[in-house]
Amino acid sequence: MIDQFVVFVRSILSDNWFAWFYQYLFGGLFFFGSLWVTLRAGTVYKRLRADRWIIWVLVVGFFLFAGIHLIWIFSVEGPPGK
Amino acid sequence: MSDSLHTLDYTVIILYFAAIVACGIYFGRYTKSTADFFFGGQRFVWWLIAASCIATLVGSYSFINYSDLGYDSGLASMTYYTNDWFIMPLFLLGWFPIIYFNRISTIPEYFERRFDRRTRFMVLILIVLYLVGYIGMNLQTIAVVLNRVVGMPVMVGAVIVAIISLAYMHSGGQMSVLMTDLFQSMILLVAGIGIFVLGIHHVGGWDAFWNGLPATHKVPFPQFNEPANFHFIGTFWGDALSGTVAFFFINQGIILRFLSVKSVHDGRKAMIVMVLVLMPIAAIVVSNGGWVGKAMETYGWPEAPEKAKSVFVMVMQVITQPGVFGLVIAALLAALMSTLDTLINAVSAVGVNDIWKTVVPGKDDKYYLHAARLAAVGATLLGLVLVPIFELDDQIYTAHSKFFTTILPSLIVVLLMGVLWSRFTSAAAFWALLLGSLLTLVTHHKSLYFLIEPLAHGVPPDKGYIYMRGLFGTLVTVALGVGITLFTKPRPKSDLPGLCIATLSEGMRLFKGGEPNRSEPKTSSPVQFRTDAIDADRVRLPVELMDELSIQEGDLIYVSDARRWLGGLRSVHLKADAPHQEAGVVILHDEAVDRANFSLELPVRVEKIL
Repeated sequence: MIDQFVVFVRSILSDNWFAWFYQYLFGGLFFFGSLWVTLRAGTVYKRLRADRWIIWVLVVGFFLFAGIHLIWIFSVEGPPGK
Repeated sequence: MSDSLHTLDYTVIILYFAAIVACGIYFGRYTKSTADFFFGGQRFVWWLIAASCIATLVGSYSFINYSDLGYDSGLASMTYYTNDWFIMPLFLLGWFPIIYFNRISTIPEYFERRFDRRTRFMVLILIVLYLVGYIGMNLQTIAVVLNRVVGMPVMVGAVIVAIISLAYMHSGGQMSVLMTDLFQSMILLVAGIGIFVLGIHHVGGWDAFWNGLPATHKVPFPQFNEPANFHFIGTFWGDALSGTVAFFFINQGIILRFLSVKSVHDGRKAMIVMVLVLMPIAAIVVSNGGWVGKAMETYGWPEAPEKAKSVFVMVMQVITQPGVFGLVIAALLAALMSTLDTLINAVSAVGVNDIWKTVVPGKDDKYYLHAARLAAVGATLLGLVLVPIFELDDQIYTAHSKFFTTILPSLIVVLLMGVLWSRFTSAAAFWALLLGSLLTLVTHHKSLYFLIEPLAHGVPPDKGYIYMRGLFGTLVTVALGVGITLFTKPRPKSDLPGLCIATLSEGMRLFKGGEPNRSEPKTSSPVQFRTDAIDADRVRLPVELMDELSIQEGDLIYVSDARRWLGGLRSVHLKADAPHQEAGVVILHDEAVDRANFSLELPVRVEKIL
């Protein structure tokens, strides 16, 4: 089933765009899922500026990597699609 | 390759070795206890840890392998160094505070405290086998490089490097490793960026370089699921998630490095800077030889690199001048030796804390410090013994790597479930680790490839699913872990203080020995200090400084030399005692001054930690 899904997506998207969507979708699920779990467990004291800074940097870092990869692929290949 | 070395190159290489040994021995004199030997006294600031980690991260194989990968696949070779962000919340907010606040010095120790002794024992065997084998591999790799560079016999090269590493490791432990790795990081980054600049200049500037790369070499990701040895889906599951967790969570060398930091907040900063800034730079440093080689090929470089002779070495021979080539070789050796010394320190920590302290408990710290130094020597000797074995039969080398790559997902899953799920039971941990590893190991048999195929995302089985097996191992171990947990009795949360995220605040309390002070951390301006007959683990601060920094009696305080560039080399953690009325003066005990290596006439800074 996964194979068929991969074949289908590769028929409409280039490998780089597919990789980008896959990485930031599944990676994002892992990232924001683990962020949610750890915050819910109270590992961060949100009233402390230093702790809020960590959360902010984590989220910014995620979108920074995603943004750089997105701009990079866009500049080389153009918009998603084949 | 020795023909291409000039006297100037030899001079640079010898100077490099001399500087490393001198640096290691000099800073080794700061090591006075096992805490210094293993964790550098938990005193260093974030930038020093981040910078030194880069030398450890850039491993023995990096320049050679990533340049080859860059030549074959282009800029996608950076993938391995730029896909680590996804595990950061778990590391920064979960795992790192857990090991720091619990003062967990080795990975097996965590497994015993979180689960039980038998799980610790199993993990201990795996980690010792892994680390000692890896020391052997590193020694062999360095010796092979020296063999190619100066024509030195492999075993002689291995012995020389082992002696050099031990010369500073033996006296200084983590303190020496940290400082030499900082130095080696600088060599690595400067030489690596220098190579890139020279390479671009050689092909005729940036535009010529960029236009010389084929279109397939300009994109950030490899192809989705082919070829079998390098594809996106494999790097995502096998490296971005599994490999990164393995490197940052269970690499004993990295654990010790991060335990050397002065506070959890500084450790978090170190990791952020490393992953966000330094690792992308390191990716360019280790890969650019291959990119330049590809561009050179476009412009008629006569010989296409053969696998037998690394593209990195070939490009360096073309673009560098005498002296610079020596610096490049020094950078290569820096990458190799910085990984080696970290491994030796890691084995020493495991040997003393997990083995020797259980065999001979209750001795004083000096005894265990001596044992740690002997363990470092023993680990290096064991690694040396492995060099001729790896030389004789490279299948042993391959089997070692394959075995540990296969069992890693199970180890990672058990660790993460232990961290995240307080209900996860000891029985589940033991059996999930054992059965998960065995079930993943048997899938190496071709007749069982069908188990991995449904998860393979279309990756061809040519290379035996080298990456996709990790996804299988992960899912099997999760299923086993959850299943067994549901049928076994968990330990109450009160038995797991600070050992999982649900009980982390309890760990913080235990670390401090009281309720944490939740006010914003602040650092004072430079203040003078004097000594007096107070408790050796305490510091007395003037009342106005305590008010200014919101410090309360009993808080954990970090007192450091006022010169920030020392990175915490001269510093000490103490508890705040009752305030005094003498304005502008901090009062310390002589022993604390000695531990911190303070100079009597120089001012200090005071910072509230917890």
